[in-house]
Amino acid sequence: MFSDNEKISLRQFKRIIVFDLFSISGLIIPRIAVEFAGRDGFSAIILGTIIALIYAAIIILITKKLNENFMDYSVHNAGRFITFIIGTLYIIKLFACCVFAARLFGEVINETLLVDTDPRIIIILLLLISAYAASKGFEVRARIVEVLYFIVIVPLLIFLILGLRDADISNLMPIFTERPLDIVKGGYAVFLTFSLLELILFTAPFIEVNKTNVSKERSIFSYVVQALIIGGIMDLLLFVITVGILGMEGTKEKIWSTFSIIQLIKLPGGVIQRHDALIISLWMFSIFTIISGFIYYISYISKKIFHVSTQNYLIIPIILLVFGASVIPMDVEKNYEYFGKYMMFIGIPQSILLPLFILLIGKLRKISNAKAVARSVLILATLFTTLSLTGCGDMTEIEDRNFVQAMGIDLEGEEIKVYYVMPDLEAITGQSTKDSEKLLIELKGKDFFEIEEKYQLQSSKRLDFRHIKAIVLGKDMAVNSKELDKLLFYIENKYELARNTLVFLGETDAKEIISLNSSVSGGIGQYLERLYRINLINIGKKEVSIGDLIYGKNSDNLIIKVPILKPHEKSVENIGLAVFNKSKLVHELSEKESDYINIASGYGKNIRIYINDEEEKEPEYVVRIINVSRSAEFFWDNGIPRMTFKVSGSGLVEKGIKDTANNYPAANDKHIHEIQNLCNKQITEKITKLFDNIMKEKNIDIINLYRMTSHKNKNMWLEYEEKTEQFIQDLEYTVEADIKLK
Amino acid sequence: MSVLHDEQNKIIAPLTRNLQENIDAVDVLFKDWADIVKRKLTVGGSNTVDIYFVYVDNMVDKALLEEDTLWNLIHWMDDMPAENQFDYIKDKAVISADISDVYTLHEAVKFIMGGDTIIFVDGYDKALKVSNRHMENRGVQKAENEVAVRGSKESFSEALFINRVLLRRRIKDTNLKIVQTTVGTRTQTEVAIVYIEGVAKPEVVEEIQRRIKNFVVDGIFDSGMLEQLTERNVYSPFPEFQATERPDKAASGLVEGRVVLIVDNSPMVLLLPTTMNSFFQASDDTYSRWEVATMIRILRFLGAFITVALPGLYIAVVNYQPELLSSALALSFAAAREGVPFSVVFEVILMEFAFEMLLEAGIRLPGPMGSTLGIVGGLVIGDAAVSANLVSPMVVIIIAMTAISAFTVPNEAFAAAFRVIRYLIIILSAFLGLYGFVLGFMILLIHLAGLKSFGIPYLLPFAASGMGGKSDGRDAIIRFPLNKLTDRPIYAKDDARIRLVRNHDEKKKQKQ
Repeated sequence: MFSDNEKISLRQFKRIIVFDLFSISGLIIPRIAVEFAGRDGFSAIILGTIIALIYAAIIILITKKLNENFMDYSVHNAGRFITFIIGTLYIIKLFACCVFAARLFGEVINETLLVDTDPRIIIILLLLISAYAASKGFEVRARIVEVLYFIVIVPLLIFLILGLRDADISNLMPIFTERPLDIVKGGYAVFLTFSLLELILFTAPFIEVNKTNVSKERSIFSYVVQALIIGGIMDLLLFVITVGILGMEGTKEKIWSTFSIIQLIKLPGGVIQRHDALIISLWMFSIFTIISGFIYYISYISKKIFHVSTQNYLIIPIILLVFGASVIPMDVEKNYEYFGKYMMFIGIPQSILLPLFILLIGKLRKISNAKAVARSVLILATLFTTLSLTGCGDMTEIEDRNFVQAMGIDLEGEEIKVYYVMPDLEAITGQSTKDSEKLLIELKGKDFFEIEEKYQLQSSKRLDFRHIKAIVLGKDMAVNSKELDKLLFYIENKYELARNTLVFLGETDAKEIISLNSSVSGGIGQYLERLYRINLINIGKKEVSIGDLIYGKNSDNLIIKVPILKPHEKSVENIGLAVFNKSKLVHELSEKESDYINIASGYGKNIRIYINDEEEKEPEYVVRIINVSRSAEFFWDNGIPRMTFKVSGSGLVEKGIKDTANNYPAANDKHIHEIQNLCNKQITEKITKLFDNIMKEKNIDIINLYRMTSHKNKNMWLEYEEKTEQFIQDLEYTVEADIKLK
Repeated sequence: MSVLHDEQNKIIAPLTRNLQENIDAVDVLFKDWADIVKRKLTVGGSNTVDIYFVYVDNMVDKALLEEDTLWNLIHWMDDMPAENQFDYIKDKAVISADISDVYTLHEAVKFIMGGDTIIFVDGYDKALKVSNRHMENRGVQKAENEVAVRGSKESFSEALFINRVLLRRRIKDTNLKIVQTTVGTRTQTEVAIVYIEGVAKPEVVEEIQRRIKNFVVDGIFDSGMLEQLTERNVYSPFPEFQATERPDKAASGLVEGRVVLIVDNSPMVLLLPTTMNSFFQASDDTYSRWEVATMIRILRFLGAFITVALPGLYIAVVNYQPELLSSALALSFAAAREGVPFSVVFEVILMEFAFEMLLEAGIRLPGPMGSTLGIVGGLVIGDAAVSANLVSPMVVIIIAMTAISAFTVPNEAFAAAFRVIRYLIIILSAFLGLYGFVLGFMILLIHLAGLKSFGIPYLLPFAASGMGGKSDGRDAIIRFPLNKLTDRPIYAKDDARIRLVRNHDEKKKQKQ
């Protein structure tokens, strides 16, 4: 019969390790890896995992020698006083980890899910529920983790695998460009996040091994290896996706950069508008397990060193202390920095040295109280409820929110002018349509914070950006690098505004486009979204979001191309692309030019090529591109960087060929071949001309060629690192087109 | 308490050799019993002896008593010996196999109240119990609360002896043990502990016997009372026993190694130990094909999740994380709520209460009135409330879905626990959105992970299933084909886990 014997199975043990390793490290590992090893963060994670494996092997070997609980062994061999000191050191470390985790997640939840709620309430509840789990003992914790494993880890893994499609390989390549010492430092830093492996010292006696033909330590090690492989793979996936989507700079922006990418990953299906809240909620489950683990171990060690009969008595003071330390007013970045330093110089060395020290001494010599918890939980829960009832909750009813559908931003002199387009709720319920002017709110201010404040002073509803469809920038705003930078910074820190919101540039100002709200069906926000997602995307136009502009702002050599809109009667027309470099509009491409740039970027599906249409005459032939891909080969030619740029794909002749296939197939084939040559010639000429005009004359890396060298020619990338303009000037190129027609 | 009873209502007066003393004691004990039948007779020929008959009217088969016992006593006792008269009466007068000697007045009175006839014989400090019970009962009726499309339609009855038969008919094994005891100092309710020796864990049988002996209560009237008196997790809404009215389910539990508790006067028997998984299993599952059973199981788990989560999730998403909804849906929700005077939380709680009240009223009202109430309630809630703009249509849909989902779980007590937990999640979600929702679920998970039923973790086989070395997961969310369910669940004794061996497997083994 099962009993409360604090025994866990190997499977439960493995899952505990996966949770312990992934819950916190998953959030911060991309940043740690980038900070220390840049693009070679990938190698740092692998190295960190290998170090962790070695460390785990050592710890397991030590547990084999101990033959009993680590703390008991310490008492028997090193005496009570030394055990007291060792226990205290462990408690300090676990306490620091617990405070860091509680603080970090309090911050994350506060910034993502509960913007207006007091973080102290979030933290105390996090600690209370974790304490409740800890009070139930180790067996129960193992069961919780076992159940949560499939609820948390499996969906996250699937999500991460799906997210791989959105990662830009140019952000990750080339590899092995950092100094080996940096990679080693990175490996050590990554290993810091795996340091919880030392808890095997305490958990090993709880593990029950069924197989008798394999030693217990070997079984434990094989399960630790499995756990580390799973943890390592997940960390690698997170690194690839985070850096692949945000770039190096974007990844360094926040401690928990991982969550920033969740908004940007597109999932098939589209049932859920934004899945970030859902993924964060799933992740939260793992946080409870790890914090409950910390509390459990702290109380366990405290019980041993303070000789307390019931471990649960200790949980209350522990959570109060952790809570007190977690709410010390300190910037989370500072907290992270101090914690990192503590772990690097004290935490990890102590993890390695203490068990060895105890073992050495041993060698030398040889030669529930649940009621208390329940009562405290009750008191604190009552406290929380009182606080909540006195107005700490940030609940706003759905009908009291003004869901901004679209936003237009113009610059007028020194001031920013913002237009918020609101939904027509009366029309949705089938009542008469509201006056269109009432649906458009126009506000002016020096910055966005002032504008928000003005809104709050005059509106009865809460401004909510969670369903915004499109942002339209005015021309003046786009050319003003400083103001655009401020706008992007504002959006970057406004979590509720999704980074995958579409962005457009108005031909003159944003108001022109936004004013069409009453003319287009469903409002301008929905119209622009549908225009893109139903039509434009099907004629080879790439979707561009505000996240791309933020990404461009944070990257040194990234060109972002935003569609330009022009009012046309009672709708809008896409008239080309606006080229942005580092938060500044640097060039505009006409609609025709943008087609060829799109083909050169590999997005030309369904674009029509009008052959011989130079003199505005009716084109003789029309070819529709069915699929297109581009490739670039970079090589050195007598010290000069050269590129062979090739566009290939297939197309369909839509105009200019009679249906003679039945009678004269050979003649038909010949005709198609001629059109194919003309088409390829035109594509080659146009792309070459665009390269000459934009890249050479204006010094704009229009299709981000330098970034392509990162995975095509590492030497070239290194040679021109931070000299993109020089690269563009030096680069000689040949363009080839090979579109097969039918 | 009279002088004849101790503080636990046990009769302390002894049986004596003097018949008059015994008659006096019985008279005192059964004073003001309108339905007691007592008669003193002198039987015999040359040697005579006084006897005293006691039984409760309408609890015995009178015809049988008069034909098989009284007739003999009056007409066939001529050879009455001078000694051993008690044995002579026992052998010659009573034509029944079910007779026994009773040595205490307490026992004698207990049998009388249980429907047996007691014959006191002068000169003997023991009495004769003649079992000829015949009490009115409902008989075996159709199962009403656990209806199955396929399988037996029988349900347990209030009469313990019928329930015993229903099990015996299904398990014809000498190892099927039925140990009876009485609970309740005044009700003297019979409780039968049923198990298969060699399959059930002896420690579980001992544990339930210990727990039954662990308390003294004046009376129990249903298995539900015994359940509450013997469970360990008193403050949990989740049941530690599985109650069922289906004999096939109870028999299946016995074969799996579980113990069944039958309480006299209760049509529900208790199965123990139990796990969360067992509450999602219906009898049909075993009788249907595995694909169908699996699909239905998935539906039930989904239903349970919706029951607990949907109202809380709705509040959390609508009030805190509307970004989870598609824009069209979010705007439609917002538009639907325009003009509703209550907050979403109040609206949900209001509708939940309205539904619970309808449910409760529907149960209490007689059949025809109950259906009328359903129509009126449905109209009031579903239509009038929306038309009057008291609630938004979405909340009506949410509550209706929640209510329907709750009934997909085949065990009422378990589903009711989920209904209670739902309010915790609603409150937490109302204050803290999705974070509150996660908190609520975490509390639920921690609580369930800490629960045990007679030593078996409640979350088995979703947690801790690897500990026994066998996989119980084959009969969980997915029900594997019957021929793959070769092992008994964790409830069985470790050396009795195998329950299915196919003949060709055996032959293969023999060849090897």
